[in-house]
Amino acid sequence: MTRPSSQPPVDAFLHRLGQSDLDQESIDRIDAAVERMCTDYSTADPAELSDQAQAQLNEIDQMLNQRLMLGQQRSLFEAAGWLALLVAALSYDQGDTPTAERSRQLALNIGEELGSTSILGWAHETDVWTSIATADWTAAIRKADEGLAIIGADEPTGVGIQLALQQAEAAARLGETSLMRGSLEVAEHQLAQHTPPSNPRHHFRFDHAKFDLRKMRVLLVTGNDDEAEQIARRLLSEAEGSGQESAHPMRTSEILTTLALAAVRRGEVDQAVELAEKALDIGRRSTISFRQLTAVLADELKKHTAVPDVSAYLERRQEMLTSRG
Amino acid sequence: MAFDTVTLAIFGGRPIATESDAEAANAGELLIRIRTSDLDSNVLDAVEQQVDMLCVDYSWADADELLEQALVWLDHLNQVRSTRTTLAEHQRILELAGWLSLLIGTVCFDLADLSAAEGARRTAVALGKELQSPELEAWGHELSAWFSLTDQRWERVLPVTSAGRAIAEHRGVGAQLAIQEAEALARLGARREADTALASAQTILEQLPAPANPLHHFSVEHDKFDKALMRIHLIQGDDRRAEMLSTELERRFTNSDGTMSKPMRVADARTVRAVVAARQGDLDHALDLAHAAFDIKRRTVPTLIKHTTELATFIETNHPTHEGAREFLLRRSRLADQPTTAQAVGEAG
Repeated sequence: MTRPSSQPPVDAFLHRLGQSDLDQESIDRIDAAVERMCTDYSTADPAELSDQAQAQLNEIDQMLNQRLMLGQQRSLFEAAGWLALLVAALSYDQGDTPTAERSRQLALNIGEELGSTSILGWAHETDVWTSIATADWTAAIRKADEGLAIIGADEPTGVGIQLALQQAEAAARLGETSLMRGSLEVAEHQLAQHTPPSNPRHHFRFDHAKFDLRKMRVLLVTGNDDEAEQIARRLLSEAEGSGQESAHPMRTSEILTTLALAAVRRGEVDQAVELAEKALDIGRRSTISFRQLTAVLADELKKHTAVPDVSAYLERRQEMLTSRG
Repeated sequence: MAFDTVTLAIFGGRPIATESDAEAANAGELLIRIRTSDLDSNVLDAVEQQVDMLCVDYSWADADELLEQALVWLDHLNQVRSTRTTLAEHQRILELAGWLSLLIGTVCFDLADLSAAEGARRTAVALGKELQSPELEAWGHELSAWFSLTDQRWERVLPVTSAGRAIAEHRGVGAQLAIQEAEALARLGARREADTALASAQTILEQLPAPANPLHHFSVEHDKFDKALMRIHLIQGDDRRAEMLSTELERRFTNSDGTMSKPMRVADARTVRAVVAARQGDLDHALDLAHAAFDIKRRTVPTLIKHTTELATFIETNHPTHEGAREFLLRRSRLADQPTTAQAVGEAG
């Protein structure tokens, strides 16, 4: 009955605990693909990218059937979490709300299972974004609070900055100036503590350049046109200077629309229409936010329908909106 | 298979919709599948029960049988690893494997299979790190400290216990590590520091909630403290206290019918009284007690050898030709390769 010390089973049994059917290269390849897809978000065709993301989710699903190390399973779940968020964002952009909401829910569940405040934070961000897109400002403020409560100061993607800015915007729309100022302060405080991302084009990394854009939007809402226009001009010249204009079409579109709005309010209708048309040329992606962004501008322009180009712009805008319906 | 049950249990009853309407044909279905499990949720409950039972049986059951059983369940967990699981299930599988590794390390050490013991200990530490489980990792340090104490490498104990205590903090294993630290310090002649370590062990023990299963080997209770205190009294030359505690502990771990609830602790107590008897010049009584300790079937061989070191040295120095003493020395040297089933528990009384 005594076990001679040379008998092998113990070591063999222990050794098997460390075995995996999946190699590190596969994990690295998936991480790289997720990074690329999240980076391509702002420029790629949404339907195509959504297909790619879902194909990647499919592959991850297959891999999860294999014998894995815990760290590998965590990596796969994390990749799936970001892909789910990406599919959610792309589906909202395409007006496919059911798929978007399902994906967002998956991301939430994965975030909870992983204990990942980053994934949870961005799942809230997506939710806040839809509330803003549907002009449900009260819900946006509440959801942003929920998101901010989850994430800690050391959250690495900067989703807290984004949430605070979203809250500031929603507060501005409601005319709640003191909440707006408080949220802007929170956002600025978090921005100061946050390390800028190595890949700012990643859709789920707070790009420090977005900060001014959001601030500009808030200022515009609260009637501080001059200040907003100042920021818009600076951002536009920075984008042109660095050749990044085409890399961020939606951002550029928003800047141009801001300038158009400031121009029309000043009575410079021709210039406004020119800028607005340019914004239309570029901004043909995110229908809900586009609708909202240009709605204010359209209302202002409607006061000047005597100018022939204004009617042309309004018709073109309407056409684009209905074709996306 | 209980996909829904598992999902519900883990996500607080908020599963995403499971109906496969036409709209959800592509993304929807896939998204639901990602987090599914093919594991019957009862399997891990059953394994956990078995692991706990083995840890309870540790103090008296046959070491070879314990090892065999532990390996059966480890093998089972290895097979379960090939099943698709949720993250929480996977963590639980590894946690159970971690406790089994600690038990296997302990039993292998009892059987004097030192290399298997160290392999199992390292596995437990690696799993503890992967799981970020301070409990498992600290117990890995506890085993390491125990190995060094038994090897009488006192100076090696202190860095290990101090690293372990930093991880364990106020958990039960922290008290156990402080106890080990106290013994090493006592051996090194640092009486005051040893007392301090004992005091902090006691503080931790007093603040611990009552253990759910005090018979579980990895549940730290006051018996472990008393056992160490007895040994430290002996090291520090307080023979009277050591002897009193030894008698008390032997009584505590002996049932009314003569069988022992914790045979290794009884052996431990007997070796203490054997040393005291030898120090008092009563060689025959010392040898009787030492043999009585060796007679116990469930044993931890390296510890038994360590705890009879002083007696062996004493005999070699003072009674090298004494016949009974030579028989003791011979038996001691053969402990490691003696069949453990040779004596029945009853014989040991």
